[in-house]
Amino acid sequence: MISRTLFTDILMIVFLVALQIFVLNRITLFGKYTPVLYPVFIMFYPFFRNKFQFLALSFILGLSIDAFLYTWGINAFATTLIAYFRTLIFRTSTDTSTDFFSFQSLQWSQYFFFILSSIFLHQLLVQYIEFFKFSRFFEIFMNVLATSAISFIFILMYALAFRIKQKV
Amino acid sequence: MGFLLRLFSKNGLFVFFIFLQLIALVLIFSRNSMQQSWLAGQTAAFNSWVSGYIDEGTSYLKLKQINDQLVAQNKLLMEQVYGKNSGVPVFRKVHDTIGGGQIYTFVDGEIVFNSINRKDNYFTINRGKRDGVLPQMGVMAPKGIAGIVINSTDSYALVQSVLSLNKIKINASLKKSGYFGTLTWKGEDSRIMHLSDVPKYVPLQIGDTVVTDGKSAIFPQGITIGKVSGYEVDSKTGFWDISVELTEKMGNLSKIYVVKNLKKAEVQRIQDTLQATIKREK
Repeated sequence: MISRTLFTDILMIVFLVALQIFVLNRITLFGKYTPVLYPVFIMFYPFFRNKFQFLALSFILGLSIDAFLYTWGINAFATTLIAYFRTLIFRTSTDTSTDFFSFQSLQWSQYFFFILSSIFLHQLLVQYIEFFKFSRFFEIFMNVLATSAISFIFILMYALAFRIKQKV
Repeated sequence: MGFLLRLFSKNGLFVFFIFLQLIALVLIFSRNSMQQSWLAGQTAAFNSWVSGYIDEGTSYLKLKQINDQLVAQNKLLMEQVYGKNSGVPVFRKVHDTIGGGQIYTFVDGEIVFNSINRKDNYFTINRGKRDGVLPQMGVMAPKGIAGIVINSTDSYALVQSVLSLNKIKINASLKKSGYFGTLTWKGEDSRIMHLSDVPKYVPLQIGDTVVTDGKSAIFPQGITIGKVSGYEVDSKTGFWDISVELTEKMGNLSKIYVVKNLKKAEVQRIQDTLQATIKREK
């Protein structure tokens, strides 16, 4: 396993952005729902590394996605937010109030909960800021739920393929 | 500065997070058309909300000035409506220093003290000799007549209210038929005055308008006093005793207009010659 450095992180961002923009954004399930995969970078970033670097990389990841989708700042806002609150979401997912952050220590249900709440929070922010209309609250909320569910499946596939639970 | 450094060293990650979020927010509101237009709309709404309050405040401060303007305008209009001497024959050239048919002017003022519950009522107004208010001038209210000046100091005048038992007799006439009589107050109700000396054969109707008669030189002709609210034959005199409901509520008077008759001296002079003639004949 290649040890992760700033360089590999940037490579991974490039890979995820390319995957998201050129592959996943062309998939529209049930006519309108697009799976979102790129937050896996934030979710499965190793704990106990430089948090400033982590936040900055998350911001750059969101901004790169924005650059391709012409939604300046919206994804960057959401990704930076879930990056900052990742430990909080993780703590909420476990039943022990431990400071030992590792996915190996999680049960599968807790692991699912962590992924689902992360992607849900991310989509909630992105879609509400993007549509920016409270008059269409329920319509947007349904959209958030559907997109989160579909993205959850894709993220789970990614996590299982790269055996992340066992590694990180 | 020390505070900022301490904040950053203690909560560096949080400050960095807020910094990144601020960049994102600035981007959101400056580069996305929907958010941009929303921000513009909110700014405009806030602007109009604040300036609305400011406008309201300034207009409230201007109210007194506006009120003064309205009173001045009203005075001018009243001079136009009531002040013209319709009786001046147009074909005769009269040497007239005030140049035209103006016989009444008005001085506007406010009541500073008022009473309605005595036998003889008086009120004080904030206009006096300095404004040309002299005894025996009529005082009008916006909707009717109010009284007659009985005394004036430099800047105040005492007015005998129309609600005075024996001291006030006003020449009034029925607008419809033109018959005139004497308007007095009987001391019971501050809203009702009585019109007497109208002959019994004059047809009457509840609701007929009673106006001032021009024959007294105190009030201009045709000012509305009130409406007929009841009538019966006075058994002592055999004339109608007509109850007149005043259109002006004497209890809440505040603005008044003093009627100045510019030709009063002239009228007085001609009437004095009558007295002299009577005396001579005796």
